[in-house]
Amino acid sequence: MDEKKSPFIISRRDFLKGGAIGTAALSSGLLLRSEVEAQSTLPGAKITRIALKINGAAQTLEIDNRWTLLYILRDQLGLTGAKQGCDGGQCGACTVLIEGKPHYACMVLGIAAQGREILTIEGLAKDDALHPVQLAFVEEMGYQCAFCTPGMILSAKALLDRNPKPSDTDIRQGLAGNLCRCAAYPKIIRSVMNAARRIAS
Amino acid sequence: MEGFAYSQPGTLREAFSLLTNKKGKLVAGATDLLGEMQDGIVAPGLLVSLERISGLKTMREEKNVLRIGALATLAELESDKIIAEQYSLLAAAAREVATPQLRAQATVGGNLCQRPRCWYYRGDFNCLKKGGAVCYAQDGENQYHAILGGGPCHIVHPSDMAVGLMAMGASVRVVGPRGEKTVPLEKFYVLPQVDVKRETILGPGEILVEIRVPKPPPEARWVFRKVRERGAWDFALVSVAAYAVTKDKIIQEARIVLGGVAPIPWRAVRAEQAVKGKTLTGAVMRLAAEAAVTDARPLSRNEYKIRLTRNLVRQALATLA
Amino acid sequence: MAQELTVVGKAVAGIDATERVTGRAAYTADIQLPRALYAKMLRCPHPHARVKAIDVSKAQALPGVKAVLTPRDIPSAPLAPAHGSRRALTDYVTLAGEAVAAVAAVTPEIAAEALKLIQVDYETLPFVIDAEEALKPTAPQLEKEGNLIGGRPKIFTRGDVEKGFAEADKIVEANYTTPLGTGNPLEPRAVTAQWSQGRLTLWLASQGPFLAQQELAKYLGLPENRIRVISTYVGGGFGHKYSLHPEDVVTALLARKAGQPVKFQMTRAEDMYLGHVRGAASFHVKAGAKRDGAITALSVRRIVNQGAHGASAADGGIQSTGLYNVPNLRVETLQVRTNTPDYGPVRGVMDPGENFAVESAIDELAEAIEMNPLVLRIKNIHKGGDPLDGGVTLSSSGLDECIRTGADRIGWGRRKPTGAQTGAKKIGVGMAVTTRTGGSDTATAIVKVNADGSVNLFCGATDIGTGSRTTLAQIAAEELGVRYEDISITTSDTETTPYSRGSWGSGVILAAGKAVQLAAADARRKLIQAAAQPLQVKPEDLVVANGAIFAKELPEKKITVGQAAARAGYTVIGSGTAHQTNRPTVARGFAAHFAEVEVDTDTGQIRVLRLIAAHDVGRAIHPKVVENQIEGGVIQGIALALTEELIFNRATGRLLNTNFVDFKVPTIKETPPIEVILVEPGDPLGAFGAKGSGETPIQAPAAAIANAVYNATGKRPRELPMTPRRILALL
Repeated sequence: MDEKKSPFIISRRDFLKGGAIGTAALSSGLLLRSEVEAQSTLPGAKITRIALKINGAAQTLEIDNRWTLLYILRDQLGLTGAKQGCDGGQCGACTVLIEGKPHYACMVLGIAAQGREILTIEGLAKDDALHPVQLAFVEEMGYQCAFCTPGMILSAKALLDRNPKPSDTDIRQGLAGNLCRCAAYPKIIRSVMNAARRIAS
Repeated sequence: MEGFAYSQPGTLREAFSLLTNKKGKLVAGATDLLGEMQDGIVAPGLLVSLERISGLKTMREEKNVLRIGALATLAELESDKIIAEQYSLLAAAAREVATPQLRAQATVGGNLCQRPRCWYYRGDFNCLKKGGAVCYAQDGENQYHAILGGGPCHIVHPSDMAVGLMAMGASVRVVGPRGEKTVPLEKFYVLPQVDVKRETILGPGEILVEIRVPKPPPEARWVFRKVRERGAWDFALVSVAAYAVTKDKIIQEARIVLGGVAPIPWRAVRAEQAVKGKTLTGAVMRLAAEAAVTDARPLSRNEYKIRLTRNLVRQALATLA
Repeated sequence: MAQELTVVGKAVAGIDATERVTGRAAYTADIQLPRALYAKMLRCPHPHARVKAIDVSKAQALPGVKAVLTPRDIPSAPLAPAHGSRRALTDYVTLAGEAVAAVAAVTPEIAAEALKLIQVDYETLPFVIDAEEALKPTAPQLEKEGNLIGGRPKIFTRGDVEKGFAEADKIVEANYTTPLGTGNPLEPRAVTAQWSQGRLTLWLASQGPFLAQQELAKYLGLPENRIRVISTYVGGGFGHKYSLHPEDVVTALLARKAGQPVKFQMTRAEDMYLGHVRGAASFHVKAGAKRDGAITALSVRRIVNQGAHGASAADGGIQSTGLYNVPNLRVETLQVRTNTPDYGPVRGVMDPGENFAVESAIDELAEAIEMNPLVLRIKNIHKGGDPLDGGVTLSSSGLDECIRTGADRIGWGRRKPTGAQTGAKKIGVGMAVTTRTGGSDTATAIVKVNADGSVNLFCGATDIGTGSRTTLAQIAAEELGVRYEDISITTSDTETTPYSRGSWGSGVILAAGKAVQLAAADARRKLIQAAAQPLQVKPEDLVVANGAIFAKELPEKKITVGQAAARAGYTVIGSGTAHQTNRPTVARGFAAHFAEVEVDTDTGQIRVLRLIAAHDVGRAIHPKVVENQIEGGVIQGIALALTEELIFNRATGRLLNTNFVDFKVPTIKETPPIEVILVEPGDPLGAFGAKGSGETPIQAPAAAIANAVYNATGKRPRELPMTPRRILALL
């Protein structure tokens, strides 16, 4: 069917043509919702075209004003590293960095993210070289089920970016917005300390 | 969530018009409003963002007044150098709000205007505040509800910033289609007995644009303490901000403000009177603590808040002594 | 094993660590299929109601809606034993939130809009929330036999409890209560369903894909080989993802009806009231002892709120029956039906609450006979080899060592006398011990050795965050004699891995772990057979280590594992099955917890200053994996003690706090200094002496903290959680 009628969805073709997004997104098994389905939208849905910079790549897309950044990342762009744990700004599993600061992607309207620079977990490792924070979480086993881990690592990165030598108290304050229900917290604290040492050396 | 249009006016005048003529809903950080929309409590057809209006984010000290733009985020306030040095009570209160993620997004103005966290208001209950006939807290599960100033609705005001700012003697600048006014923060809030559907004086089209905090004299001392069940992302069971100017050990000026106990940030006037002109001895502190809860009327499950409030006021005063 | 262990006991990097830290680990909701639809359920707001009429025609007509289901459109069979009488979709609701209809649509917004267009006419019925209320004759009766499940209490006895109390010098007696709670994994339950040529593939956030497959096959009337369940990455379990859930089958049926894949993920609120919960319970405990410290009798009466459909969770009572050698014992259990969430599998099930009750009573009993509570415990605990109820024997116990080393670490000897402190902040020290049977399950594993020496391990057990994938790979490497890096592991896919009943009940290490060890040993035997001929050495004189097969006496006489595999047909398959059910000996994990707390008598706040957790884990295959289990369990246990409680509105029968702010799960700030002590006596049943350690950590913190609060204040908490409200009322 005619994908031009689809105001919600950038088609897979446009997406690939644009080619702007990082390779991480494409290699994560990205499959957009098909054009056939995309035209079925609710009457009254308000559509806006926005530009975002995600993991260093410029991106333009048309969104329903109701869409949160989390929905856009996961369901429109296939960046599923940010997890949906509560969809209400209460758990931190969807934490991404906007202009370097941690935000709950589920509490950011896509339209309010217009023009912003966004870093997701997919953009943290350069090629296959893990970021020091990631290496530290591997070494200290700072995770259990790891559903919180992408968000936790991004919060830890933001903390270390502004405070390279955090105390135990600083770490607790800096990561207080990321729940780990498995409560791997003791090893998460060790991971952040380990990461600080790695970054310093 | 219902669909909505989104507008980012460049001037306040445009914003007034969108708010009044188009029945728009004001949005700043959106952390509170989005939650309400997701829970189906409100369904605005138009959101009016203040993001593009210049001058609403600045924080500066001017003629012994700290001026905080309503759109400054809590994270900005928390990390501001002047605030850390001269107005540390505000940084202390900001640090206790929610989480780093929400503080990076939530604004000071939004924090002052946030809606209650009452589980009936947020939940699937057609309560008084939502136009229903009953306050479910009256005879229901009310362990987190008001002991002071309650009725007919028994919410507690959730803002930590309001408690801190009120203790510092802050006022707010409100602009609207019919001009502007500056009101002391304690006159900004409205008890449910006056209007059960809102918590502030803001009328249609009116916008809180700035908070003004007088510079405290060198003799001033203050303290902020928040008791909650969880170390982060939790609202106060009871919080207290106490501010006192002391000369020769005599209290010249005192403000004691309580959070988590009333539908509005609660100025404990009787407690203030009990310390004014006095030296903070153990007996004076005990009397003041008792005075803070003289008017308390507990519900079935929140009597503990009376004892907690009394003890916190005493502890806070002890810090200032 | 003659050689020293080279992989077991080492803190190797997690086998899946890179996927986990890069966001590439694909959890169920991350699976993106072309043309996938979004499912949503229409949930009844009333706790007890009958659907008189339902009209879905407007929803069906909404553009973008691809399938709508009502109870009439689905099989009427019950879902699965864990859900009792619960139906996937129902027209008779006994729990607020049960689904009465479901839709699948091309966007989440359209699915939500469709739900609004469904018109339901409910007949609301009287409901009951509290178990004790439900036992009154005036309460609405939810079962034919009444609200007491089975029509009468379950009674377990040993010896003569009345005689035991008559022999006692002192008797203590009190009632303890614990609240409704939920495991609440960070990943809500999620499912994606796809049909192709009459075969169903289900990506399912599940602790037991094989159990789900079996139950689904029965429900749909399909052979098991036409249902594939995949649970590669699961974001936490805690019992929540045990068994098949209503949403799983509804999603599968929506996908069949729509002819397109369908995905569904619970909202946080749905997950909190519709997953399994830990039912509210009360424990009336009476205990008697002689002055010399012999516990003569213990009686526990448990009233357990089983919720609307839950049935099985109250079995056990091991905190009453399994900690101490009490000659005279009686445990009476009343399981009660109410209009509340279903009591089902949840980490530790009832044991954290029962441990709180029993271990508080033991503390009180020690004081009554003027004996150090630590000494009273050591005198009475079970020892390895002890006969247990049911004619079985305890395989091993390191509890005595746990108690002694833990006591030493906390400085038990310096503990202050109870209630002796002045000042607003009081410090106290308390202890509790606990136990749990682990691993009465069955599992099979397959080891495939390739001609280059690399190894594929296939095991059905899901790694729900316990690190089992890494642990199982270590066991395989150690037993086979290859490097850890040579192992690649595939888990939890009913089509490509052999049966493993599930990841619960502290059972993976004992069942799957043993199966992996047996499979690796089988492969090793075959490799040795293949190597014997070229090496001209008798098989019994050959060993495998570090990827090579060599003669014990002549190490230079060797070939590689890969060469042996090549000789044996380029692939060597080893398989092993562990039946850890109905054995004459029983493996139990043990722990002793010691808490030091500060009670702020002004605010009612309790701060845990230190928690020592000494655990008999048999043997730690991976020390960090085991520490993670213990530390996380302890923090969850502290939360049960201090903050977590689901709260009902009694007027409407609805839950009030189904979110992460009002239901206070611990943040990183709730992490006290935790010192883990691993006691490793080895256990004869498990691989390399290991036994389960997943649940003991959550069971003892509440009692240890409550006993510490008593030591600090002289007042004994008997109600969980110990919030400021309750502590201020107590003081």
